[in-house]
Formats: sequence, structure tokens, C-alpha cells
Amino acid sequence: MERVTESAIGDIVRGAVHFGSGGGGDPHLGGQLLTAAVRQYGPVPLVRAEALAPDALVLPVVSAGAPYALLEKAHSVHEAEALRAAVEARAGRECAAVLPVQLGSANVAVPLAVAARLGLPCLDADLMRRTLPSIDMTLLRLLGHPVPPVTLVGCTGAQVEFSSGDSAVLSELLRAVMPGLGLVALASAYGVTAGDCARLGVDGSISDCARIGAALAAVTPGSDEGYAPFLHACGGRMVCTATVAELVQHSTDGWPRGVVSLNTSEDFVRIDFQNENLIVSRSGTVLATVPDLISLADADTGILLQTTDLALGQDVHVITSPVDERWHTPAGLDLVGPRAFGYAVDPVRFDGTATLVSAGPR
Amino acid sequence: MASPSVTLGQLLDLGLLQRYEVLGGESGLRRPVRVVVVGSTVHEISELAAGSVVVFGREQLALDDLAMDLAIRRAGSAGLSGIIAARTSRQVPFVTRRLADRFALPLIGVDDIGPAGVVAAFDPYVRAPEIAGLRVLGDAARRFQRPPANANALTSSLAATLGEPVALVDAESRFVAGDPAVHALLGTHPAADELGGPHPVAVTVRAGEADILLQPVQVDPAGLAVYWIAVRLPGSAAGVLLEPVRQAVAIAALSFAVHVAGDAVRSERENRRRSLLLNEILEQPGDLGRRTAERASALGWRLAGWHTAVQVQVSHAPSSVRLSALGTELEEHLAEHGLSVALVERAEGWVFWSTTEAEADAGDPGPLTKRVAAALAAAEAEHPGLRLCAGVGGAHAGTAGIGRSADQARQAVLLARTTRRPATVEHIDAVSTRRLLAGWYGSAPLRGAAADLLAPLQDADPSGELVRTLRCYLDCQSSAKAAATVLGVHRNTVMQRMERVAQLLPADLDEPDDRLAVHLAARAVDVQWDDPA
Amino acid sequence: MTRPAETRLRVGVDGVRARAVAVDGEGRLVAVHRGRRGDSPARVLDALFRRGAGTASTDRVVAILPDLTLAGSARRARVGVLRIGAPAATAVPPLAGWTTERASLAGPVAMVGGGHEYDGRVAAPLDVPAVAAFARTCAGKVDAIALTGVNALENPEHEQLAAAVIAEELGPDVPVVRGAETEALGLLERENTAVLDAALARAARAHIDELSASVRGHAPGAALYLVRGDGTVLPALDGYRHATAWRGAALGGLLHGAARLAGVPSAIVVEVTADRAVVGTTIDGLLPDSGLPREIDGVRTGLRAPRLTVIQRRDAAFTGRLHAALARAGGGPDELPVVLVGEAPDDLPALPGIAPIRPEDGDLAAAFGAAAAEAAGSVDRIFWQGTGGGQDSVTRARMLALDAALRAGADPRKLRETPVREALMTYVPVPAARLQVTAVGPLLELADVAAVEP
Repeated sequence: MERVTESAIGDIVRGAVHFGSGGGGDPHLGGQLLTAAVRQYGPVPLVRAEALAPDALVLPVVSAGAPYALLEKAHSVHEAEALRAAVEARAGRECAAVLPVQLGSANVAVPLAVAARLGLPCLDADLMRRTLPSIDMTLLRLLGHPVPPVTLVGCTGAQVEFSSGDSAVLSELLRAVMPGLGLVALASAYGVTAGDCARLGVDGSISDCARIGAALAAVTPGSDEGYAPFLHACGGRMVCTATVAELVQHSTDGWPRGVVSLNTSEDFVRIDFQNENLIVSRSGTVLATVPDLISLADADTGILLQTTDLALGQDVHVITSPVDERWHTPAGLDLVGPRAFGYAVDPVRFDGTATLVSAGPR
Repeated sequence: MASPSVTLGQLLDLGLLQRYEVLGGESGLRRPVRVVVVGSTVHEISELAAGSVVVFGREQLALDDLAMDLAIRRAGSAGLSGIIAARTSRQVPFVTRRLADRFALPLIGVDDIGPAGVVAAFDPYVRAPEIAGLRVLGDAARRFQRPPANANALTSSLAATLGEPVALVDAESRFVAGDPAVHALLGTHPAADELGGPHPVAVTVRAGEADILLQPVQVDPAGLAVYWIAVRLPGSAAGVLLEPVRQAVAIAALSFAVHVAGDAVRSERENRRRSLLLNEILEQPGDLGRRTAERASALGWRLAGWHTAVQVQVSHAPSSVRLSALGTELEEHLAEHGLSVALVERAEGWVFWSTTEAEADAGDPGPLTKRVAAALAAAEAEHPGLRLCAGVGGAHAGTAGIGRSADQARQAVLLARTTRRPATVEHIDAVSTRRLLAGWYGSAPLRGAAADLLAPLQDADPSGELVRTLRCYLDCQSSAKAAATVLGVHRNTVMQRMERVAQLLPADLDEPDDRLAVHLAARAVDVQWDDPA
Repeated sequence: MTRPAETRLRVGVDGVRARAVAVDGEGRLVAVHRGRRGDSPARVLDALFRRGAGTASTDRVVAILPDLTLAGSARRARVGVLRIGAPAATAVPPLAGWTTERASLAGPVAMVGGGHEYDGRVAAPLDVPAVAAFARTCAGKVDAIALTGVNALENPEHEQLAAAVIAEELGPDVPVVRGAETEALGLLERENTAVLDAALARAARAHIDELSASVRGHAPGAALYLVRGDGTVLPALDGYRHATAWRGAALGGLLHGAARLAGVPSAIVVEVTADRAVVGTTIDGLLPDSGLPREIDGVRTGLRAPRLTVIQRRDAAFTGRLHAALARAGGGPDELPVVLVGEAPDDLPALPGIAPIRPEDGDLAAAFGAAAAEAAGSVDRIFWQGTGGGQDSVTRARMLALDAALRAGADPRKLRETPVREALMTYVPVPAARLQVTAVGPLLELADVAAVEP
């Protein structure tokens, strides 16, 4: 895929929802935002990291906002410029391209729209290969790359920068400033060059979204077979078809934790979720866990759903699919395995097999 | 089963945990519990022996944690008898509760008690389930060492001992004290109709969703039950715990029987005291000793003033009615109808009288008659088949007036008996002809002649059907139709019987004199007379 | 003056299926008119009244109007679109993702400074001169205005102020639709709804005025309501500015009406017509949510979509699909009765294991549902739970829903409430939650009010 035209936007944001694993925001807003940008500035060129000079600075972009807050108050046109200015001023040189930090409906659309607005190409890559709730959960950091500096830009022009710090402290600080910024901000982190990206080998992220999004559009709801195009495209499998019986959420340490109870024709399926779906289990047997993807598709329409928006009585398909192999290494599981999210279970892959390397106790 | 065992349901019923909730797996509450242990990890559950109950603290395992689903699954396959864990304000997910249901593995949420505390509370009863029974028995023995002061004390003490609702009912299944819900439940069972039968024994009956234990209270061990104790049995009262519960209820029944018997003795003594005193007053009204007068006023009897006496009699009583207790009941009913009086037991029933300062106040017997009738009706309503009647004497002055009015009351009550209607009260003054008749009925030779007159009918029809038909026919002014209505038979039946009567009777019913004599005889014939002095 | 309850009549008009009924206080059908498909709602109502259905004693007329669409409406209006909230949300301008054809209905579009934060505090002061300037550019060019403020559900002040400024400039004949009049999460969702409503305002007025003339002519004392898409009532005056709110009323009214005809509070309802079967569920006067957003003419709106399954009868697998739809519609914990209504309920093959209720006059279900429609109020927004804790905001959400139901005409003594649905804020762990709750109940009887007053 060489550039993002208006006609490709639907597939890209639809496919990005797949990488949201039940989170990452509803695709409608992202689609509107990107459409507005593409209509105003024209299609966004996509580039491979190898095509840029290895030392070229890239601009990692992530929308740091609660999806619900973003629905009320989307980004401002000024944030993109302000973010680039802040990053370039610190680095002392210009950015050559925009780099999406994660894949999710908002966080694919926002970097592309930022690229359009800034007249920059967008790397066909990202740093997570899925949606994860914290800016430090990247493959780059897995390689030892530091998270700071972190820059946040609010819509009224307020800027915050954390130039160094432990990732746990950073997360705390980020959380602390978000209310002041109205729960919505444009963010950047990591000092990254095109060469870093090339070494990371995370090519084809936006293209993957477009490909999977197109496959989702080809789904014929009503039967399991109808999902073949999508399952083939994402390499996933359909776990079951079920009805939403209950959805409970609570927050103890500020982070929301929730459980979806699903009724199938034979038994009960449970999904433990926080920002994304993290574990799917059936009658006490774990079927799949984070870092693999757990999606819920509306049985009537085939649309992939946000877990917090589920309605009681809604019929859904539970679909699990694989994620970048590097998340299944011991270090990867330490960062984003089920225990990293506070669940005392061993990781299980999307197809029910135990992960190759078992994570040790933390 | 090798040894008696206790179930988790029984342990919970013992009330050892202040606050708990059965979150799922309720059907497993009847599984035997072999041991109760503190849990440390989910993994060790698989190593626990079948029949174990594992208790987790807040720190080890939260009820809404995914690991709880794993725990239920492991516990289910290891044949455990339950999981107990700390409750939080957070909702336990639907899937978790239903999973417990599927494995029939009781999932219990508890408040404010650590796992060690739960184990310590349950352990003695798990090791030796019979001590749970002993606890109940010991408690019953302690509480019922002294007979309960009344029915309410019995039911509340027993309910506290068993932890289950208790009701006391009488031999006709009427509610006396305790939990009305248990009484209502019992009412749905056919056994409720047989409580008055001979040879009462303790039984357990299934009423609706509950088992009810019925224990008779017998004053005379060979006699009828005077009361029944009804206990809704807890689900836990099975196996090793059932027998202690039964015995505890039997202890309570014995203890209450002692109270009832004591009560009966006390009231009998009191009654005897009153009748002796009345006899003294009636025999020597003009010359009462000082002590007699003092005792009378101690009982609240007034000797001066105008007295109106009332005599109450039983016309018919079914076997289930305890006549010894009836006097007290009547006093209660009379009091409810505004007559706070002390009944004095006499050979032919009970007597009481009301006293006013002036003759004028005693003049109109209407209100008194009505109140007595209402009280009798209330007493009859409580005992199906019971028939009462009463007579009211005229107002007479002074100590001697008591006896005079009482005599008239006795004559009036004879009259009342002849009418055979429920709760009949007759006043001696009401109709002078009645007084006339009372005199006539009171004459033994005349009654003998009457009996002779009707003897052919009695011989031909020992059931008394002919006499009753004759009396009714004459009462109805020789109208076969009206008599048929009263008797509830066809008019032709009355006609046929009357033809038969005419054939048998040595008198002609078309002759006014004969007819009057036959009529009087018919009205007098069934009454059990005792000759007035 | 109060009329005895037994003489009070409610009239229900099913403007889609050309049916009208008059129902007495005990819910009995008193008069019926069956017109021909295509008859206008006013014509159907006239015909019912001409049957002498106690016009004087009719105190309420509730009508199901046909859905209005941009494509189908010759009388759609040009709309001036104002967004209050700049610089926030400017990355997604109004109508950003609309197709060019749809976007062509817009007149002037502007984003002005103003708006609020998630907790109701002012994000930027309202740029009143810019609002006035926008209004002047609209003068003579638009038929209606749609204006929407950022976080205006939490604080509608800037929306109200701007609406007043615009009314001052353009006069009372240009309807102004505010986004916060629709209780829905999402700035774009509310904005799109407001724009569609504004565009349809002319057509809506024409429909309602025609009906209203008929009511005035026959039953001048009667109040006029429309049926919303969820089968509850919308006061006719609000209908002028909210044509999208009555979309889907034909089915919403039918679901409730079928259950009422069958005498059950909750049911799975199947409407069978010559070419299709529609399966829906009504639970205690409310339609379960599908969990999916509702799009109109390809535009995402803030309206909620009830859970419905439509099965074409020419579909080879018709019976199988119908069975599956019934099984799923009854997926809750309680066994629900199945009610069959519509033009052709008897065409349906026997359904093994299901003994459906077939009420008499099943073709009148929607008209009956209209006559008996209740009033509802909903809340669906983000609540900042700051210091007060979650319970305070839950209480507030319930109060707001009750208030909304009262505004729609409900009797405050007879309201029922759904449990409050709480969804916590993800990704940014702050004490805020999306709360959803609905209150519903029968309409306040004016006679009852008169009766309780001394």
C-alpha cells in the first residue's frame, strides 16, 4: 500500500479495530477525522522505514485520550503542529515521517491525519502491533529502547514534557496531567529514527489494517462460515457464539477491571477485560490470553465491538487471533502477559496451545 | 456411609457464621463434609481429599477473580464439598455463579471472618457431627429444665434452640402461639385434621416445600394430645442431626405438659374454692360467717345489691373438647363481650351473677342476655360440634337474692335446652308462659307421663327420628311443609312419618288437649333432667 | 372540568399501515378505522372521527408518522451548521465524513470558540460576536439551524446562549435545533442528529400541522403526541424539531401494542406481512438495545437502535431463520410469550415447540400501541465522579432520566426505571463513567391532576 486515499479509510479503521482486542475506540470517529484530513490535504503517502535515511528522525504519534472523552472532544487542528514543533525543537532537527505508536481505530487514524496535516509521509509501521494500554508497552522498549522523552499537547495549546524517568513513574505522571488537559491530548514518545524502525522490522502495519478491514467487510453475517474471509486474513479462529448475559466493571486502583459473562448454547464463557479483552475462559478453562487478540463480533452485522459498549442480550462471536511473535518471548510476556495485568494465569495462545516459553512468577 | 457426617448446609444452619451468602452450587449443600481447610493456592485444590471444604481469605482468592472459576472447576473435579471465600462490595460474575451451579459446588461468600476463623468454627462439628446434635439437646435440656410460663415462652424458647420457626396448635389444629407461617403451612397438610385422634405420636409430614415435625403434648401419657408442637425442620435436620432435633422437641413437649397439668390443677383448686364458697352463701344466706363474707369480697363478689344470675350448660360436647378447660375459655369469651366475671362450677354447669346498686339498673335483662349469647356463640365457633346454652334469672336483692336468681337461672336454662338452637339464652322473666312451662318441665311425675305417652314412638324408632319429626311438626303449627324445611327433608317424608306417628300414638292429634299434651311431652323427652330440690 | 374516567378516549393512529383506533380508559377498542395503505395519517384520523368515535371525549391523539428521509423529502431545508468548542474538536469539522451529496444540504458551516470540559467547567468562553456573525451569514440562506456544543450534555449553557443569539438575528421562523436536545454520547452523533433534524424540520412541520388541523377540527381538547422510534411518546411540539426521533415508530409502536393486545407486559413479537417477518422484543414497555449505533441516510446519529431481526419470506431458509431469531429474542432468563401480529399472521408455518398468542385485530397492533404509548426519558453521558463518588453520579443520572420522562409527559407517580448501566473510562484512569438509565411510565392524566387539586 503506497498511500491512504479517502476510499481506503473505511477498510483501514475497520481493520484497526481488530488490533484493538475489544478496545482502542469505536472506528467511526477515527474514520471521520481521517476523512476530514484527507479531503483537505489529499492522500497520505505511506513509506517503508528502509526507504528513509537511517538517521532520519520520525515522529511517533499516539492519541492519549479516553475513547469516551474523545467522542465528546476530538483533537484540535493545532495539536499536530505543536507536537511536531516540540519534538523537533528538542531533537534539533526536522522529522521525516510520522510513526503510529499502536494499532487501534483511533490510533491509526490520528497519526495518518497528523501526517496529512503536516505534509509528511506516514511509516507503514507501528510500535505495538496491537492496542495496549500504556505507552511503554512497545516492541521498541522490549529491545531496551527508553520511553522518554514523552510529550503531550492539549487542544488549548498546553504542552507537557517528561524528558526522563522510570516507566512506572511516567505512567503515573501522565495520568496525573490528563484531567487538566480535558482527558484528551496528542502525544509522542521515544526518540526514534527510521533506522530504529527498520531494525525493529514492523513493516506493513497500515497495510495489514487495510487488508483485514477489507476482509471484515467481506464477512457474511449469519453463519460461522461467513467469517472465513476475516479469519483467513487475521489467522484467527472462532471460539464460540454467545449471548451477553452480564457485564460488570469495577475500579480498585484507578484501572477499570471488568468481566463479561456470556451464555453459549452449552455453557458459559467469561471474558476478563480492562482496557482491552485480556482473557477468555470457558467454565474455568482458559482458552486464550493477552498478548493474543480477543475480539467480539456482533452476530447480526459482523461488526467488531468495543467491549464497554456491549448490550445485554446482544449476540456475539468470540474470535481469537495471533499477535506479533515477539510478545510471546519471556521478556514480552513479562511486559504484556496475563500476569502483567494482574491475572494469576499462564499465557495461552489464541488457538488454545500453551505459549512456548512459560512466564515465571513475577 | 462409614461414619455419620455433616453437610455444608447443616454447618451453615448452625449459625456459626454471622453473615454469609450462598452464591452458587446450592444443590451441593447436601454433600457430606469430611474436613474444612484453609486454602492457600488454587493449584493445591486438586490435591485435597474429596469431601473437603476449602476456605480462602481475601488475600488468597477473590470471588470475582478469574482464578475463582479455575478453583471451582478443580474443586468440582476433585469432589470437594464447597468453597468459602471473603465477600467484597464487587459483584460476583454471573459465569462464576453458574459454574458453581453446574458443578453443584457450593460457593459461599462470608463477611468479616478470616479463613482460620471459619475452620475453627466448623471443625468440631465436622470431626464429630453428633456434637452438633448434643449442642441442640443440651440447649433444650437447659431451657426446658423449668416448664415454660406459657405457650409463647414455649415457642420462642424452642425456636431459639432449633433456629427454626415453631408453632403451638391445639388438638383441632387451631393456632395457639408461635410462628403463624408454620401453622399456615401445616394447614395445607391432611394430617392437620387428625390431631385430635387417639394414640398421638410424633410424626414428620411434608407440607409444601418443607418438612414439619409434629410432636404431641399429652398431660395424660395414655390420653389424647392437648396440644401439638409444630416445627419446620431445617434442611440440615437429616442424618445424624435429625434425632437430636426430635429429642429436643420431645423434651420441650414434656416440659410444656407439666405446665399444662400444673395449670389444670391450679384452676381446679380455684374452682373448688369458689363452689364451696357459693354453696355456703346459698345454704345460709341469712347467717353468713365473717370469714365467708371476707372470702367472698376477696373474690370480688358483692353480697349486697340486686343480683342477676346466669347459668351456663353444655348441651352437647364432642370428645375432643376438654371440659375442664372450657370454664376458663368461657370466662375469656365473656370478658371479651364485656362481662368480667368469675364462673363458679356447679354440678349442672357454671354460674355467675352480676350485681347492681338498684333494682331499676337490673331491670332490663336484654343487654346481658345478648352478651351471654354472643360469648356462647364465640365459644361454640372455636369447637365444632359444641353446643352451649344459658339461662338468666330475675333480679333479686341481698345475699339471699343470689340463690333466688340462681334458681331461676337454672329453670331458664332448662327451657333453653329444649330449643336445641345454638347458643340459646333464655330469661326467666321474658315470657310468663315459659315460666309456666319451666314449672311443668320441672315436675318429675309429669315428665314420667310424657315419657309414657311417647314410649310407643321410642320403641318403634330408637333413632328418635319420629319424635323429632313430631316435635318439629307441632312446633310448626302442624305444617308439614314448614317442618320439612326445618328438618331438611321432603314434605312427603314428613307426611309419611306423621301418618306413622298417628298410628303409634295413644292420642289423637286432632284433639286440642291431646295435641298439647303430646307437644309438651315431645319437647321434654330428650332433656336430661335433674330434679330441682 | 373533569370527565369521568370511563368516557375518556385515546386515539392511536398508525400512519404507516393506515389504521386508527379509539381506546377507552380500560383499554377496550371503542372504534376502529381501517384505511388503505398510502392514506395520509390525517385522512385516517379524519375517517375515525367521522365514525363518531366520541370526538368530544377524546383527550389524547398519538400518531405514528412515516419515517422522513433526506432522499425522500422534497421539502428538506438548507441548514446552517454551528459547532461551539474551538479550538477543541476542530480536527473533525461538522459534516466531515458526510458524502458530498449529503453535505450539500448545508448552508454556512462554522466552528466558534466556546464549549465545556468533561466536568462542565468552561473550556473556552463563547465567542458571541462569531455566533452573531454566523447568524448574519445564514440570514435568508437557510431554513433551519443546527448547533452543537462540546460537552453540552454536561453543560448546555453555551448552546442555549448561542441559540438565543441566533434567534435574535433570524427571528422565530427559523427553527434552531440544539445538539444537547438529543441525549447521546458523542459530539458528532449529536451534531449529525441535529443537522438531520434541522434539514427535515420543514417536512416535519407539514406532516404535524396537517395532523394537528384534523385534531383541532374534531377533538379540540385533545393533546397531540407522536410515537418515537422506541414506541414511547414525543410531544407534537417537539416533533417539529426532531423528525429523526420518530424514525422506526411504526415498529416501535407495534411491538408495545402487540404485547398489550395480548395482555402481557413483555413479549417476543413477530409481525408477519406478505413479504417479510420482523422479530422484536418488548420488555416492560421498553425495547432492548441492539448495542449498535443507528445510521440514517449513511450518517451516524445519536439515536439508539432497538434489537430487531427482519427475515424476507422469499428466503429459502425462512422457517429456520425465524426459529433462530425467536430463540435469540428469548435469550434472557425469563421465558417470554410469542405474539403474532400483522397483516398475514396466519400464513406462518406452524412453529414446533412454540404456542404463539394471536390476538384478535393483530393488524391494529401499532395503532393500539400508539393509543396506549407511555412516556420515557433516558440519560446516556459521561459523569465525572470526582469527589462525590460513584453513588452520587448514579443518583444524578437517575434524577435526570426521571426529569426527562416527566418532560415527555409521564406521570411522576407511576415511573419505572431500568438499572443504571455503568461503563468506566478506559485508557485514562480517572473517576468518570458513562452512565445509561431510562425511566418510563404512563402519561399523566390531566383529569387525575384536576381530581387531586382541591
